[in-house]
Amino acid sequence: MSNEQDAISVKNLTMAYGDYTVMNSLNFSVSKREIKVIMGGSGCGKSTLLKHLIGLEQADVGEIFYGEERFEPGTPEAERIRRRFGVSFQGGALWSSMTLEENVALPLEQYTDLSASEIRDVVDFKLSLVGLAGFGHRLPSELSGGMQKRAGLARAIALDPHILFFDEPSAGLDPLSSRRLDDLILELRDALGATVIVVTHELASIFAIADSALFLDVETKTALCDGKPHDLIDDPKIDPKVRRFLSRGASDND
Amino acid sequence: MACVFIGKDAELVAARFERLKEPCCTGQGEDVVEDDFIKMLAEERLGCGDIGLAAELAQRDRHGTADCGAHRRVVAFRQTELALSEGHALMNRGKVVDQSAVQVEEDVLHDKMCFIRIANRYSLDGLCMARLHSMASVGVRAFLNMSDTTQKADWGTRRKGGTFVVHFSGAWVNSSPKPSVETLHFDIESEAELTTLHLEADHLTNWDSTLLVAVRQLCVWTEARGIHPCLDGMPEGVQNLIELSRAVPENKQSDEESPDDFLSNMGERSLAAYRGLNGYFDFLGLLCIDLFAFLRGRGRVRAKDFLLLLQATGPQAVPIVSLLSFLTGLIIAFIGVIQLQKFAADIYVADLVGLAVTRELGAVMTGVIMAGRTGAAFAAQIGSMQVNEEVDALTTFGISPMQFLVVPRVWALVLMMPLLCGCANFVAILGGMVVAVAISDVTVLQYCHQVQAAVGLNDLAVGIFKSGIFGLIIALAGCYRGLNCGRDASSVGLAATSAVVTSITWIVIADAIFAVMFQILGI
Repeated sequence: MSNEQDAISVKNLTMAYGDYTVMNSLNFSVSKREIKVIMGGSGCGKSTLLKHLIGLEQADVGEIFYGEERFEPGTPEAERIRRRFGVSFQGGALWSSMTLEENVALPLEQYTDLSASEIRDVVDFKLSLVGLAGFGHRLPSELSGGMQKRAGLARAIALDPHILFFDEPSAGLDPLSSRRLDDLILELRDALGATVIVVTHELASIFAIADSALFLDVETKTALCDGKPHDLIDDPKIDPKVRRFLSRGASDND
Repeated sequence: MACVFIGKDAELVAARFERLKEPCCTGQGEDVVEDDFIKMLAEERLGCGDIGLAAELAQRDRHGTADCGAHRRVVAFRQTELALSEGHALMNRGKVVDQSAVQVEEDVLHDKMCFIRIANRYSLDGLCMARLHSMASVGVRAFLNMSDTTQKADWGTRRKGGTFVVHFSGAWVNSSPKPSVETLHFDIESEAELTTLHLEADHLTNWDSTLLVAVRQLCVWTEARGIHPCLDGMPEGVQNLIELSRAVPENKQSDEESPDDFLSNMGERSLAAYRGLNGYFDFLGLLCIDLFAFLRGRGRVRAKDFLLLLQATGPQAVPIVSLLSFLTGLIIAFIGVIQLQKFAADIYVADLVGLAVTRELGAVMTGVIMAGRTGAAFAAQIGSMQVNEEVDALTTFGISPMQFLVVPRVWALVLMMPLLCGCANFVAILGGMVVAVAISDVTVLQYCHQVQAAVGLNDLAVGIFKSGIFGLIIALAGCYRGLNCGRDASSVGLAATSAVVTSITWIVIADAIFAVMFQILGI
């Protein structure tokens, strides 16, 4: 089956919308406590891959394993595996009819036996982690996009997940906020021992946080490389597309 | 030098000039008068910028009386004209110099001369006049602006070996008329063995996307015919933008369109309908499981959410339901009283209103109101949650949207609809009473007594039962449409609309089925 050290292993995964193939037979694994960045140009299927990993989409062909367990959306096992997930969506995806506090509290109410006051303490703590202490009574619509995104993160880490997924965490954030978010991701990994999957194309973030990076290529519909970004850019054998991507096209002029 | 007639009314002037010639050649004694006339005419012609005619007239001024004024200017204009004709352009279509725009004042003339000299140096073929726009003084600029032929987008073509050269000229901007690209295609196709297409723009005055679109089309068109387009002669901006637009190759794997014939259309539609039906049954099956889980207290619904839903679907709908029911009762009573009075059976209006409302109208009216009010709201709420990925967020937390969103809505509506229907029944009978008492001899007590006698508990139960079923239909339609909403704003609107349409349709169908069923059962 899969390596014991691997938190996630993806085998021969083909993703498609109807007849349109997004990616062909992807194979990669993510070891425990690793920060894996999925990168690639716009429309290459990064977010689609994430949706497959968290079970919002069904794989066309191929399998996804979490540890030893096969993950197949719709089954009770999948639901159990999913409890270990924390997902931060691109737009925050906060439940708009609830306040921030209620948003963060909902997973706790659903899955823990904590009392109301304990839940409130946890919620306060999680909100302060993302710098939103004191905003608990606001509705999501009363916050800026960046704050919504951070609140979404607070909700994602409410249950101390083993695996954290981030969809474009720094999109739409100012450089300082996105830097803070990167630091927070590193901190969460170290403190919680979480495995982190980040979908992004922000180069600064990629170099700052990635233990390894998977490059999805829209033309060949495969993963072109998998490795540490600093190594990738110096690797002479690397596909020029990847080098161009990592150097913002600067190597075009070489 | 031949006389050149320019301007709009050139023909008119030419005709007058021809008439003038006649006495000149024949009559000798009227020379002086003739000279004065010629001089005057020359000044007048100059005044309106008719250079050629003025020059001709000045030459014919044998006594030289026009020397000091008209003649000097005529000389200047002669030079102008010469420059223009050498540049074989300004008048290349015989109408470039706009009469009204040419001023005879010295300073403008000077500017014009400067301009012509520049034009000459650039070996104008006329249309680049406007290119000098920025160099020219205000007067010339005004002149150039007024003469729209210089602004007109155009091209000239020539062939040089295997190269076909297209010169773009004039102003290629959105507002100016431009020739159709097809004519150029025709020109190129008529030439044999071309290898390259050179695009030149030395006579271009002004350009925007109009030019870019034309150039891009031309490039694509020629490349498809094996001719290499070369943009070296175009402005740098055009070259860069065209290059940019071609940097990323066109997506070749565009969505393949399925064949558009009757059979495949029918096949596609049947498959889609089948999938839709499957989806509907999936939804119903899952819902049934979760509805009973809710009853056993194992749902994942927050009490607060459920109470809020009860409030929104129940008490908050009372005013509108009451108002419309009251009016309905009123209307039925009106129709009834007027007909029944003919038989002196006014009192039976109570039976009419009571039975119609409790058995049918109360439930159907409430259903229709709630479909428009609450069914649409359910679809829009859940639909916009779908758009914002909120439903995905629920799923990833292992919270089933069915349990969290649909079940409480269904229960709320199923519980509240009978209450609303009871309220509607009461208010409608009240409305009927108002009319009965007001326009017939029936008293309040008589009306109440008659209603009590006419309406049995079974009639009331039928209406209330039906309203519960209608509530189920409305909630199902709203939630189903909401959950199956697309990912964009317009699909939320579509979901709300189709929720209302679906629920009203099914309410009427269900009502018809119930009518037959109760008839058979004898209730």
